[in-house]
Parts: sequence; structure tokens; C-alpha cells
Amino acid sequence: MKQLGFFLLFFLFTSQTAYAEFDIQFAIDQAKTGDIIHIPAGRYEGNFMVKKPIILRGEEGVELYSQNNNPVLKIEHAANVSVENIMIRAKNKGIVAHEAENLELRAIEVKDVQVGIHIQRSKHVRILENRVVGNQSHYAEKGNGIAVFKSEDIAIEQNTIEQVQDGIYVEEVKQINVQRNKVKNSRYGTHFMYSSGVEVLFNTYLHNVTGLMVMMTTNLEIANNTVSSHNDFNSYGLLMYDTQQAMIRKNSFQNNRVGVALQKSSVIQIQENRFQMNQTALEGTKVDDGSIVNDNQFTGNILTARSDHQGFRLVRNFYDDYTGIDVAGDGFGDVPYVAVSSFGQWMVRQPVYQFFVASPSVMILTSLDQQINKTEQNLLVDNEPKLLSDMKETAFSINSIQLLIGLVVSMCGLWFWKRGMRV
Amino acid sequence: MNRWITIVILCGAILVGCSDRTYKPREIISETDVCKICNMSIVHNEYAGQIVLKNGDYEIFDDIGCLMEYLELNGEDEVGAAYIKNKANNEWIDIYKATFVYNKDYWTPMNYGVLAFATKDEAQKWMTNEGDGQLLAYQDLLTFNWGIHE
Amino acid sequence: MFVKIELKQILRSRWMQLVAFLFTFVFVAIIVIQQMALPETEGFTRQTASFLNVLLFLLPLFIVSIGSMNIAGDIESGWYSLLKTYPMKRRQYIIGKYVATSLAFLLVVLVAFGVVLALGGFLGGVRLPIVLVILTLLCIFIFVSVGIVLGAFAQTKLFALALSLVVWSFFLLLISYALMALGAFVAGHVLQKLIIVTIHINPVEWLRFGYFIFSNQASVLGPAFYGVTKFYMSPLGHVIYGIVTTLWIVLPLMLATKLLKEDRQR
Repeated sequence: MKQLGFFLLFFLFTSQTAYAEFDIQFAIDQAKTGDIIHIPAGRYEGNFMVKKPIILRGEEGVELYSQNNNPVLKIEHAANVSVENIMIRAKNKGIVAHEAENLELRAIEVKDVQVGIHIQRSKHVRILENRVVGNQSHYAEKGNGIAVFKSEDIAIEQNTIEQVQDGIYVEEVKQINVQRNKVKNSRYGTHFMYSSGVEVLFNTYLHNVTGLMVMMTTNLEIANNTVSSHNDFNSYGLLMYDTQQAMIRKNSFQNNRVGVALQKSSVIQIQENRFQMNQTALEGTKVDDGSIVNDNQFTGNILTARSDHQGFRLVRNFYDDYTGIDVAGDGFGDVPYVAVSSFGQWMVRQPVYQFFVASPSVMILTSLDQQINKTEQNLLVDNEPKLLSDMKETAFSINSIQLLIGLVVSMCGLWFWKRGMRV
Repeated sequence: MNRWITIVILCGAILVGCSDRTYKPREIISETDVCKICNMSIVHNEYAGQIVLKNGDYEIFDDIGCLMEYLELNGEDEVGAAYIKNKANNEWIDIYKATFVYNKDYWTPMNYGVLAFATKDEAQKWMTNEGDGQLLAYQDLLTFNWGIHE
Repeated sequence: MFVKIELKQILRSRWMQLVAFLFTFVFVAIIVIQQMALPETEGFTRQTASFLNVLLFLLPLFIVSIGSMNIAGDIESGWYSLLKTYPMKRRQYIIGKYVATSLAFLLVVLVAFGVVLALGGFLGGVRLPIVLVILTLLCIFIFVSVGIVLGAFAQTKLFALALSLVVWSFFLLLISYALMALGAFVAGHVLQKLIIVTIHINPVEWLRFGYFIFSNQASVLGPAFYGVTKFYMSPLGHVIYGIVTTLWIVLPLMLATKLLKEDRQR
């Protein structure tokens, strides 16, 4: 500690400019267990290595960078390491942790990197309040924002991630909590593979190719997330492939190509979510009977649901395109809601059909369908369609400029018309 | 009337002309290509696979494991040709003639740990650099237990 | 001068006034219903879809039927024969008809959009995307042309009406259904190529395609069409789009002139 103080003193006396005389690696090597290393403001080049339990804390304006392909900061075989408040630029990887335990990374800003934070074979890791921004190139040429491999008990909270391949990539991890993060303009917002014990809460996913990609993962809770504007060629709000035991609750899926897609999945419960203005709200292929879609709100979607011949269960949802009434007065429509439509089912089988989505011909076909399919018994049928939506009514407001323009335009039109008749 | 018949015949000829019978592999379009089985977009080109169906359609896969799963689900009746990228030089090779290497620590997009090479030499060279693996032929893949192995 | 007389006649016809009223009414109804139910976002939603569909449904139907009946009526009633005694070329006649009918429908659309904007003002403002407005104009320019050629071919009002209905249902529905049915038998890439051909030979699909291209929503059409949409979104593609659109306007007019000429020789 004394040594450290000396260094700080040395820095204070010698260097008033931001350029750093402080030797971070030397300070780390000299530090004892539990020491706090305060890094003075400035830019530091190098590949730094931490192998012991210390705390690295940056002052305002600390930037670490490297011009080679090795990670800027590497934490290896160490417990109780904490890194706070620094900025990192790297050609390849920003921070790499290998076999770390009780690691905390907080308020770190990682820019222009291939991979922001890479955690491998570690336990009890907290990644909080960081910001990762990738470069402008195509997502196929970039790395992930925060990637975690083969680890246990991970918390990833309140991070902001932009322009990377996968915002948060999780592979073979047990017990992970992803909370209040925001991922934008990336390939997948959060991507789980071969993991279990997953919680995804209060996150925001915007303008990615796919918001949440869940593959071969078991035991998930996905709740209170906002998943919006995923409109690329193969976009989904949430895609679950080969996934078991998931609770998807109180999320909002808005303006996506497909809101939620389930493939080869079982025991999935989709409950109390809001599906709004998606091209297709729900898609299911090879979904087992143990899965259920209940008490959701479907409004303004072009297609509510499509599936293979197996279908999936719809129970007590609200559909804004339901035409039945409730004579019995129990709050549920008297005739079942049939979501199946020929076009939707074709689209599942042959993707080229997507060209016709919402085209005039398909609109007619679908409304005919709804008459014919009323007798449908099994596939995509909700026997208790809820009648009341819990949506708020839009407030009454007047846009007077538009009103004025509109009036002027229509009056002009009519005047021209009259004049045209007289000439 | 004659003109119309000519046009129809021409169109037909063009369509037929488009579907030649050689089953050549096509390039990956990273904007739009996703794995037919698992739906992941193809970002790791050097692991990709593809099947050219007899009707001329292409099915793209991100990992040899997904390709094998497709074959298991749909059979090989409609398959004209199947290709996988050679891990050594990122070029398409016929899966029936390829040499495969398995090691659970090799990373692949689906983490099945199976890589493909055109020749045994290339596979051997890879193993000396990246760690020993188990050599497999196409026949072994049919009975291979896909999934991650601890 | 001829254009003015023609315009007066069209605007005076009860048909046209009815069409203007109907079009405005449907448009407003859709806007109001959707606006009240849904918040606004960018992208392809049910609201934009229904907007686009009403446009593609009603406008071609009205334009083609009225346009064709107008010409056929001239021929049937002898007005055209009378006009021929004046020193006026067939081409002038056709172009005059074209301009007059286009102007009349521009007025209809102007009134409809005006009312939509005004009523939208009461609902806190609607968005009328510029692409949709341009598309409406193109729709008018193309289908007036198609209507004229149908009228010149039909010669009688009744035949003209029947013919326009058949052509309209072909463009709008039957071709699509045929393709969809075909899709069950042929390979995906064949269907995809057929659809690309259809886009170019069916003005309705051409306009719909144009909407997705120019509003940057090409992904709605699906990954199979990535190549075509990417091409048409390039500067060269824009030029080609302009050329094909112009062809759709000019070719029917030339054909109509030819039809009238052949008719005289008969």
C-alpha cells in the first residue's frame, strides 16, 4: 500500500498533463491482496494482466488501449477482482476473464472493439452499468458485446450495448440473471445457448435482427421486457429453439416481423404479454401440448398466429379482430376465436409466400377464411376469447395545423371541381 | 397469337434453363441466410453447410450438426448434393467425401465440435495445431450423438 | 381546349361524384378506426397495410372502369366520329382523354386526402407518408392509361365495363391466387422467379413493390427477394423503376392509338 501511495505521489509531482507516467502493470504486480489501485486520469497503452484479488478503480478520464490483437485487460485465475470506471479501446477484445471467481466489472466503457467483455469458466461474476459500442461494419464481421462461456452464477445488469454481433452471448452457463440492459442495433439482443436457470427481466431490445434468441436452454423466466422494432429479413422478437420450461410474462412485443416464435420447444408458458402491431404475433412449429398461450393482448397484428399442423394452445387471450359477442356476460366471447388462416399456414411451409403478406388478394382470402374456418375445432383455436382489453384509450387531442391544412386542401379540391364543371 | 406462344415458350425455356441439373453450391448471403434447422443467421461462414435439393432449392445450415439433423428429418430422397465448408480453406466440399474431426473443445456455431476437411492430411494438420480429435467419416455422422458433451 | 371540355364532362358525371364520395368515405373510415385503436410506429403495420390495400383495391377499379367507359362511350355515341371530322389527330384525342381523366382523379384524391388530414387533425394528427402519396399519383397515371386502352378495345360501354372488371380482378386477385396455387407444386426458387416476372407485368404488384422499395421496408417481402429489392434500391434500380413505370403509361396509350387506327381502317 505504501508503495502504491508512493507511485501516486510520484505521479502527482511529475505529471500535470493527462499523459500517463503511471505504470498500471507495475502497480498491479506490486499490489497486495485486497489493495485498491487508483488509476489517475490519462491514456494508457498496453495489455494488462490481473492474477490476484485487487480492485482497479479509474479516475474520471482513464482510458486503456492496445494496438495489438491481445485483450487490453485480462483477469486470470483470480478471485475477488473488481474493475471500475475505466474506458477501453481495443482492436480485438476489451476485457477477458478466465477462471475468475467473485469478479465485478462496473461502469466500464468499451469502444471500437470486436468483443467487449469475454468471460470464460468463471463463477459469481457481476457485470454492471457498462457500456459497449461496436463499430459500423456488418454484424457478420463483428464480435459480441458481453460474452459468457461455461460459467456459473452470472449477473449482467444495467448495461448498454450497441452495434455488435450479439449484445449478450451466453453459452453453457448455469444461473444467469440478465436485468435492465438495453441492446440496440445488433444481431441478437441476447443469445442463450445450452444454458439453464436463466432470468431475463426489464430489458429493452430495439432494432436488432432478433431481440432474444434462446437455443437449447432450459428453465427460463423472461418477464417485463420491451422487445420492439425487429424488422429485418429474418427477424424475431423472441425466438425459442429446442427450449424447455420457460415462463414468458408481461413482456411487450411491438412492431416486430414475428413477435414470438417457438420451435421444437416444450413446456413454455406465454402469459399476460402484449403483442402489438407485429407482422405475425406468434409462430409455433413442433410445440408440445404442455405449452400454453394465455391471457395475452393481441392488437394491430397483421397475423395473430401461424403454426405447423400441430398448432399450440390459445386460452383466454384478447384479440382485437375477434368478431363474436358475449351474450352470457361472463367477459368471454360466446364463439371460439379461430386464429388459423390458410395463408399463415402456407407461409410456414414455403417462405417465398411471404411476398404476398397483407396483399389485397391475401386480405380477401383471409376474410373468407374466417368465415369458413369458424368450424375449426383444434388448430389455433381459443375457446374463451377475452372481450375486454386493458389497453388505455388514446387521449383526445387536436392537431390544429394538420386540421387547417386538411381543410384547405379539401376545400381547394372542391373548388377546383366546381370550377371544372362550369368551364 | 404466334407472338404470345413464342413468349410463353421463351419464358418456359428461361425457367428450365435456370434449373440446371448439376447441383452447384451457392455463396452464402450473410444478410439473409439463416440455418434451416435452428434459424441462426450464418455469421461464421467457415462452418456453414448447404444442401441443394433436386428441385433446385437451397437449404443453408450454420453447422454440420444442423445439416445432419435435416437429413435425419427429411431423408435423402430429395437431396441433389450436400456441401460443407472445408475448415482449412473455407471452400465448399462434398460432405460424402469429406473427412471429419471431432473434439468437444473445438468451437462450432452450435458447439457440436465437429469440423470438416477435404483430406486426411488437412485434418491431421489441424489436429497437430489445435488439439487431437477423433477422425470420422460421413457414415459415422449418421450415428453420431449430436449435442454438447461434457 | 379539348381537355377542358373533357374534364368538364367527367366532373359533371354522377358516376365520378359518387366515386369521389365513396373513396373519401372509405379512406376516412379506415384512418379513423385504425388511428383510434393503435399508437403510431414506423414500419409495416396493419394500418399501413390497410391503407395500401384500399388504395390498390379501389383506385384501379374506379379508374379503369370509368376511364374505359369514357372512351367506349365516345365511340358508341358517335362523339368520337364527330370529333374525327375536326382537324384533330388520334394521338391528340388519346392524350387529351388521358390528361382530362388523370386530372379528374387527381381532384378526387386531393379531396379525399384533404378530408383525411382534416379529420386526422381531430385525432391528434395522422401521418400520410409521402411514399403513399406518390404511389397514389403513379397509380392514377398508370391505370388511366390502362383504362383508355381497354375502352378503345371494347368499343361499347357495357363491354368496356365487363372488360375492366375482368382485368381488374386479374391484376388484383387472380394472378396472385394462381401463383399461390402454383406454389404448392413447384420449387421455391421457381415460384420466386415467377413472382419477380409478375411484379413487372402486373401494375398492381409493381406499385405495391414500389411502396416497399421506396419506404425502405423491402424486408417485408421476405429474404427470397433480397436480390431484387437490393437491386431496385440502388440508384440504377431507381432509374429502371422509373423506366418501367413510364412504359406502363406510354405503351397502353400507344396501343390505344393503334387500336383506334385499325378500327377506322376496318
